[in-house]
Amino acid sequence: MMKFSVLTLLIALLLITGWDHGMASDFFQADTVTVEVKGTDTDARFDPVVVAVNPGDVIQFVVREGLHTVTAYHPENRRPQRIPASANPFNSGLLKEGDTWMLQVFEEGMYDYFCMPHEKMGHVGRIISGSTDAVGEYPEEGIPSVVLQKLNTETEQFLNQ
Amino acid sequence: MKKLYLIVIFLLTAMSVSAQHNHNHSADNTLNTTEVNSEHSLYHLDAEWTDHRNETISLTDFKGAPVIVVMFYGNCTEVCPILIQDAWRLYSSVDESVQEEINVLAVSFDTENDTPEVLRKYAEYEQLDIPGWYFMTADDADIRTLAMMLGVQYSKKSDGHFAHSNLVTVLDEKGRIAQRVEGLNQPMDDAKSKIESIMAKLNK
Repeated sequence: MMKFSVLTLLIALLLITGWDHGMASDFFQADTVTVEVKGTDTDARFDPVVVAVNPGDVIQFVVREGLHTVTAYHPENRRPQRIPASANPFNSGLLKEGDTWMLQVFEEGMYDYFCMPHEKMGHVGRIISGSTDAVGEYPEEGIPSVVLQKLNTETEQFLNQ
Repeated sequence: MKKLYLIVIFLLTAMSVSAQHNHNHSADNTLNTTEVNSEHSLYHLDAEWTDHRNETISLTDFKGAPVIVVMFYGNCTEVCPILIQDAWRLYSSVDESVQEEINVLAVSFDTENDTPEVLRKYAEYEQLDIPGWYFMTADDADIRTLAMMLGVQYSKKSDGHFAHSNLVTVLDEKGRIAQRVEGLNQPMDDAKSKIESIMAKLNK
């Protein structure tokens, strides 16, 4: 009887979360990388700015202070596309202190993202999925210079580590 | 058996923080919306507005088609960019043929800083200097009156920022409030359906 109730609970758990077997399997096999989201105004930042992961890995954004978003550079978010062509655009919506938001990346390539309230202050980040050979060039048109500078500088430092 | 239950509880806890969905937080500095009379037309407001193209406009210019209205301020480093994104989500959710018919009014309540020139730069930065979008300003009294009719509250703080309501409003073809979407990151399905139903009625 007890076994049955536990099994029911587990099945219900999977149904409630809407995960099929494949998704759950991917999640539990994936590595998780943490990016902290800090600052409230001009000091707003992702820490670290650049992370390298493998396709299928999960990036966990933990908000330490302030109000922020994790938003892909993508036309759906009114920005030029700076994520792999076959990747789904993402936008966390508003996150506040204490929130955690997960992003799983599946494609190889560079994912550039920004914080909607603080993009003008250079609050941006980059995910390198797969080989660092995936680091390439995206068109610069429509991207604030402070963003380009931040991403280029931080990527260079990351690659030279 | 206890261990298994603990694992299940742990999984439930983990998933509750990991689900990839939009949040709707009542952020600091958020003021509640107030009740409105949806029978009143905003087009009765006899005010002169200036948009980010430095053109003088009247609200009645938008009569005849649905309008999306959002109130914000340009220096906001918290929720306003998300509020603008919410208006964009609603606008972009309807067919292009509908987008060509409707308008979006983004009205600033920061008369001190958001001049037409500043609003132009804001619109360009947000890549919303596009047909059908109007970033607008007017006299303090006219902005306050519009806010009251929409049920938007705002209050300037000592640091120069504003506490304010977060609201996306759909007006019908006569300028009456047809739909309100309160809060941030809200589903836009109902508002989208409302716009489409108004357009269907107009195109009959």
